Amino acid sequence: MSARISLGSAGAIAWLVLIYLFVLGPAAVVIIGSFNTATSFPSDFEGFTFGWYAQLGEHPEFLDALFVSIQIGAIAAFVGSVIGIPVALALARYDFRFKGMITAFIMAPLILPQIVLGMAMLQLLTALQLPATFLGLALIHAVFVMPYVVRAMLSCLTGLSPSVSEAAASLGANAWQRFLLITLPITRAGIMAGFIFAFIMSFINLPLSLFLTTPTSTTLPIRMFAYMESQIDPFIAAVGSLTVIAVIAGSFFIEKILKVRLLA
Amino acid sequence: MTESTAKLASAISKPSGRRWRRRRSGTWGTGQARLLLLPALAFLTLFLVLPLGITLYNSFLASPVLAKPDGYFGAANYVYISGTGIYIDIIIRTLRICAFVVIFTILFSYPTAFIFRRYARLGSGSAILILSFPMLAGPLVVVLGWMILLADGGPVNSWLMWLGITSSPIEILRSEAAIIIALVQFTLPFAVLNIFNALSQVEHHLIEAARSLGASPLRRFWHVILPLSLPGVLSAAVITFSLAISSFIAPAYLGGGTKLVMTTLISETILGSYDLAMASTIAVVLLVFSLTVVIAMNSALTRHAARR
Amino acid sequence: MNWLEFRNVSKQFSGHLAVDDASFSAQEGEIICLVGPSGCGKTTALRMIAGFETPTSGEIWLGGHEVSTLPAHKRNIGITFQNYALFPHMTVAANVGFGLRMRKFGREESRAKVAAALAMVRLDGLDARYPSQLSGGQQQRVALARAIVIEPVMLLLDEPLSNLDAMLREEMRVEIKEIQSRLKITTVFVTHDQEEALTISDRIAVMQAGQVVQEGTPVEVFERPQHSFVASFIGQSNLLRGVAAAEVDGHVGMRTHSGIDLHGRPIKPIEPGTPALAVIRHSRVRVEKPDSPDSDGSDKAGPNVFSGRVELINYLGDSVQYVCSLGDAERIIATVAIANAADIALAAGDDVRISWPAGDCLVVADASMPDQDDD
Repeated sequence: MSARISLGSAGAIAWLVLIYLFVLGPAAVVIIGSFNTATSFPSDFEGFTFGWYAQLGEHPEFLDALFVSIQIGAIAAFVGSVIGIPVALALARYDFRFKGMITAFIMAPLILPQIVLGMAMLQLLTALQLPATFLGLALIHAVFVMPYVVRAMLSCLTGLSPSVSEAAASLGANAWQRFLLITLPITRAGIMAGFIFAFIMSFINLPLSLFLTTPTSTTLPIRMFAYMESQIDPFIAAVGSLTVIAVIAGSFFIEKILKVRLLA
Repeated sequence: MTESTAKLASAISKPSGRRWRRRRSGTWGTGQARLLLLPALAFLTLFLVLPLGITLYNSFLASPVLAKPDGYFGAANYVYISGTGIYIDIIIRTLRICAFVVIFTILFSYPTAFIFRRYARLGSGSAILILSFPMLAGPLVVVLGWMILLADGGPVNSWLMWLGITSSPIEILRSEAAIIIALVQFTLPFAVLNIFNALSQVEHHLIEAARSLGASPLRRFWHVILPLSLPGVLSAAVITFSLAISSFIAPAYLGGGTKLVMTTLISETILGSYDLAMASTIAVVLLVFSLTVVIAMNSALTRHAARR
Repeated sequence: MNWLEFRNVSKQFSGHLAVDDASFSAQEGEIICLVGPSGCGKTTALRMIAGFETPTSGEIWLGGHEVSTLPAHKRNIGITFQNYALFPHMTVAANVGFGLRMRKFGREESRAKVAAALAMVRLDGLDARYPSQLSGGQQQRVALARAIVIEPVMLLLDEPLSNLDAMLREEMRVEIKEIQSRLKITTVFVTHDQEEALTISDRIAVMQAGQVVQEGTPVEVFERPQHSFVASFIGQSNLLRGVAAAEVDGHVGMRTHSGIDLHGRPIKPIEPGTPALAVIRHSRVRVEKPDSPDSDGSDKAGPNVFSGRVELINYLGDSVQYVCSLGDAERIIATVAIANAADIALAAGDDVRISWPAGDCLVVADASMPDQDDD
């Protein structure tokens, strides 16, 4: 019996190792490659270097794009939070007609093809005879990240009994005071998690921005995409690795410090 | 007591009290909910519904390739797409890739989620967070990794030759297989999470009850665990499908210029020839396919939930 | 004048009538219990008084003002919740002081009031703790202090004792009553426990299926139930179902479905031939050995005297409960107070004489509700 159990768990471990290799392998190859002295892909590991990261200084267009991406991500996460937090409150606290349909509508940007969202925004701007601008880019990113804010906030609110807010009402707090003094502080972790997660989802997104970038407002993924069209080298791997490290840090912060389950 | 009575009286006589009093119809809660939802609904209407509406409208304008008279409004683009081989090929290829991705992803993710559930410490700890890391890192870096791994002289080819499966490097990049491999890897964490959540909700008591009734491990799985986790599998399939049909970066790089799918076709149509009308038409077709499958699967899910 | 008036109030939730034309009232300084089984609408009624729900129809008057649609934060009503609903991110002192903060009290005055309120609930010295560091009983006290510190016009207590263990419940009940009578604050107390309701309240409103089926003092409700539901829900009673018969010297006759004839006191005139329910409190049933001397002169062969058999004995400490069979189908429970150990004279299997005074046997029209077990 015990032999069978250990055989079973050995099988389970072997399976997990293969799955983890499969899932994590590609990003690992990129990170390893970014430290390789070899100048092209694919090649064996020839020597360790930070040189490709240093090259970033010679590519101001990447730094500009990074700056644009941070701005877009911050604006999108902010707008998404301002609009999305009340949605989560409504969904957690109230029952109303068409609740299922309204929820589906608000969550729709998660399942709609992002390239279509980006193109639709392009069409709106064209119809309004506006040029593709930073604003259009930020708006479509906000549409896209809002559901993530709603989700993070909802996961925080479900543990919060509505009677806590009612208690505050009975003590004389109006709707604003209840929100500012009770709901907001209690759900602070959810709000921060939602903001960071929304920022990440905007930061790494490419298809939304594909048709909306201009020479002055090009996001980092678009810049990388354009670079990769012409060549694949350790420099682009270094840029990719940096974004990966930033994202890992952000999600670690959400899960371990804010203790909000991102994905469950 | 008298002081507080006075306070109450003054609160009642305040005009704001009257304003509330007039709102007899509907419950207090619904009004609040409406207020909270209003900004989001307005925002999405302006920047999601309206743009998609314009896209739908533009899909009925004639593409320049059709040489229709100015002011044409009709289904010419749709007719053209449905009668043109390459468009049909692309639609079929898109759906074929999605089907393979859904099948392989479910096949890989179910055992993984099952192991997570079996060894509860894995499921609750960082194991799932680490597994879901590629979806946070973003498809761009992941696809870059696949481009390196699957290259003609890359590691995967070396392994295949070392294992004796092939004698000379085969071209994996620029094939549908490459797209499918990358998409399975990208969607796997989402599916594992969904199935894991469904499996976690299967109460341990049920399994123990089945065990006490003499069910063997296989029968416990087949008659108790599997049926109860099916909704999770179905929702994992929905997510996998919608991620696959929406994916852009993997087909753009791993499929090369020849293996177009609907998303890359849209970008080609806009970036290549700035044909908004045709791009809109393709987008509408893509949306129809994507939403039909998602809604159909979701309604199957709801029906299933209602039966329980 | 009634301080609280709940006038013909109904509340409809999507298709389901939670409160159905319910009325009750409380005098200033009274404590009124809303009692009934779960789902009877008592909590919804409380939430309407608090202002968390708006009545679909009817009016709520408080201190001579109509408040039905006044929002909760303008009512100046203190409420405690079943789950206490303390603010998890605030200390005990901040929790209690929250209402004062909303009322813009000065720091010093507020501190003094908070200290006084905490002293009243005997929680001095815990000001700096957070709710998560308190026991259930302590949390309940904080909730109570938080509700009374604002000097509310009314105190609402939603199942305040249900989450406490038996010992603490007793203690807390006494304390709530003490605080309530010291502050002379009109209080609505919601509970599903009829015993709790009887001991704590000045008035009781018994609710069933959204309706107030009887309102009155504990004695009225206990001794003179006006409704078969009240008769069976309040107190521990034997319930015998049957058909009313003709009146015999001031008492109504009744024949149970199992064929036993008994006499009882009708609450309202009852037509012979209509379904009836006989309610006999466990404590009013006498069980004796068949040959025991006729000590108090009651008629050995008169009405309401039956022979039965002891089936089971439940020893309850202060009293003993005899579960007896009567005839073929009826079961009668008698609770006998124990003054000394010799009072337990019967054993399971003994044949006994079972009797009860006709005046303690209430006969009410049977509103044909689902069979309530007699506890």
